[in-house]
Amino acid sequence: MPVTVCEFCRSTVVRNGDQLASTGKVAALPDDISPLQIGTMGEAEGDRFTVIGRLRWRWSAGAWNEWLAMLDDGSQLWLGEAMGRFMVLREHDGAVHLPKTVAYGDKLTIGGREFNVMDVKTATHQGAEGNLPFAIHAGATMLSVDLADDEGRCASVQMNGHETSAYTGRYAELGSLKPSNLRDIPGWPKPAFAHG
Amino acid sequence: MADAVAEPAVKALTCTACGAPVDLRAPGYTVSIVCAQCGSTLDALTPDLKLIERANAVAHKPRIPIGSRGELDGVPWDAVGYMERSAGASRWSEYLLFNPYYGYRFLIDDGRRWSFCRLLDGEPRYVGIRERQVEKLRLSLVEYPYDAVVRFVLGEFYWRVAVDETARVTDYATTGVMLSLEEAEDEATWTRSDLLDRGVVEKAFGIPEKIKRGQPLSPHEPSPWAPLVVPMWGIAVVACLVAALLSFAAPKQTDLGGERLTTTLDAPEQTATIGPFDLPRPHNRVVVRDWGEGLDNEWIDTDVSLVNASTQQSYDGYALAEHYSGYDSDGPWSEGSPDTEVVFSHVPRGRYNLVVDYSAHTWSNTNLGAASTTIGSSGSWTTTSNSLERPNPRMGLDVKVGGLNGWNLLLAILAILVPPGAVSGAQYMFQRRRSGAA
Repeated sequence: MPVTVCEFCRSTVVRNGDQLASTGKVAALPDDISPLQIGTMGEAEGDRFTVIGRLRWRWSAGAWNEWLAMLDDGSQLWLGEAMGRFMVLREHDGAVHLPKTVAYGDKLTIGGREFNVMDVKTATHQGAEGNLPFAIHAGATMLSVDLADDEGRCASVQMNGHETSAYTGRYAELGSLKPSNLRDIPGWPKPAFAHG
Repeated sequence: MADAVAEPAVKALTCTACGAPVDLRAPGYTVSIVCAQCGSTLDALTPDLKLIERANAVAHKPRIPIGSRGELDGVPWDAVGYMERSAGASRWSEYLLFNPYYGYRFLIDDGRRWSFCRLLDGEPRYVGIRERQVEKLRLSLVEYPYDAVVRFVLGEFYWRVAVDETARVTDYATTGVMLSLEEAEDEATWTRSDLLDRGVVEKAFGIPEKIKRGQPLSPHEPSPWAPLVVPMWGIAVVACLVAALLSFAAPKQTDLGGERLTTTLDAPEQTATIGPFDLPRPHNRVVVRDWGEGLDNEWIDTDVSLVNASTQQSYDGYALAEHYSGYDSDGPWSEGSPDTEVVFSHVPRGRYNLVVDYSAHTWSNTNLGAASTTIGSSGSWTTTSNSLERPNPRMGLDVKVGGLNGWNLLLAILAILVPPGAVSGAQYMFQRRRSGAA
């Protein structure tokens, strides 16, 4: 990954070939009771993955995490985590066009599939850790659109500045990801589905 | 930040409004937290717990105390938030349950039963205008959407809660499962509630059971009458058929004989013995027909006894043959039945004599020979005949054995139909109550 957040001083270190450059600090992540941590392993659609990085976003009435996971073949997976619910997403190759105004109830077609807009949020970057594919500066904002169809598929479209990226995938429960190396949370026994 | 030091399970903070300690159980997730001491709503997204709404006092104590842990289906849950909502006359409580490895669930207490509730991902499959499908279940639209209003909050929530917050709710239900669509402003959430067996929540959280009468029924509460309806009607139909079959297998009526007797008006009682008759079956239905001839404002009292010739066991009955007529201001009138029956239901086999004690009387205040009398108020009742030299009426008695007590069969059928009828009535009333909910 080209970008790493130093876990000691919170500087963002960007690697460019042999060059390393520091591009500023990220905000300290607030206390969090997420069950995932850097190093958590799991399985999605038969592929094993390891969590290597995290982005945290805040909006006016909540926050969520986006965990970056790397698969054995080097490809990437994003786990969107909000309130204990997970979206297992892969980046969609191809253009996605967001209309000028998007709202709940609208429909968007991504990769030939139609999705319903579930909600639209303006989010602010709140912190990062681990290894990431890009650098994000503190205070960056984006428009985040969550979509779903009625067959368990979901999608996330994010627009910041002029760039729009789309991710599609499925909802998943933590148990179905066959996780191991979950975070130890004092006062809570690890669930039966966690291996180690 | 990735760290080696584990955070405490509960964060101890201080209420900005009243200074009381506030426990935060789901840091990073909780958005609003309500102070248990003063009821003020605090913003959990700001590190200093910005005050959102000040409150004066905490009025309600939830059945499950905030912070309690209970295990449901092998999974431990903390009850972190409590909310009361109402819709019309219905009022119910919702508990927010949290487990960091499982996320959030809800427990809904509708005053009668508990339901375990979770958010659905996306929408349940649309199957028709009034139907949705989830897994293999079909759920039907419940009446009309309604507005649910938040009335009271306590504890922590992963969204901004506020008293008076309103959501438009549409329910779909089948037995034991309910889907609810909640629409507020710019978003919609679908939840699925599964009815829990009685006592499960109380046992899990160690709280006492509470019976509250008169609560409205939730649309997914199963009717206790429903499983009884078909079996009871089935049994009733079979019972009616059996009763009818038994009745029609009854022996036909046969004549055993009889006699005609002459009475003497206003004379002392006379006795006659008719018979003997042989009753052939182990149990016999005996009908004694008693009729009077020539009754003219007269009646014949008869005590009728079937006496077993060998045991002298006596079966007693009474017959009254009467007929009256006259003129009054409205014209001619007549009253009384001269032809009657006495029925003996179960006379054992044997030889019997019919012993009758009878006497005939006239409708007058004096004995034989008196003049005719006016009875009743001012001229409305008069007898037509002269009481002098009245002819004596005659009485006929006929004995028959066998036949069917039609009324008995009818009463039996009615009695058989009462229990399934009552169950169907209860089922109908229950369904009406349930569909009137919310």
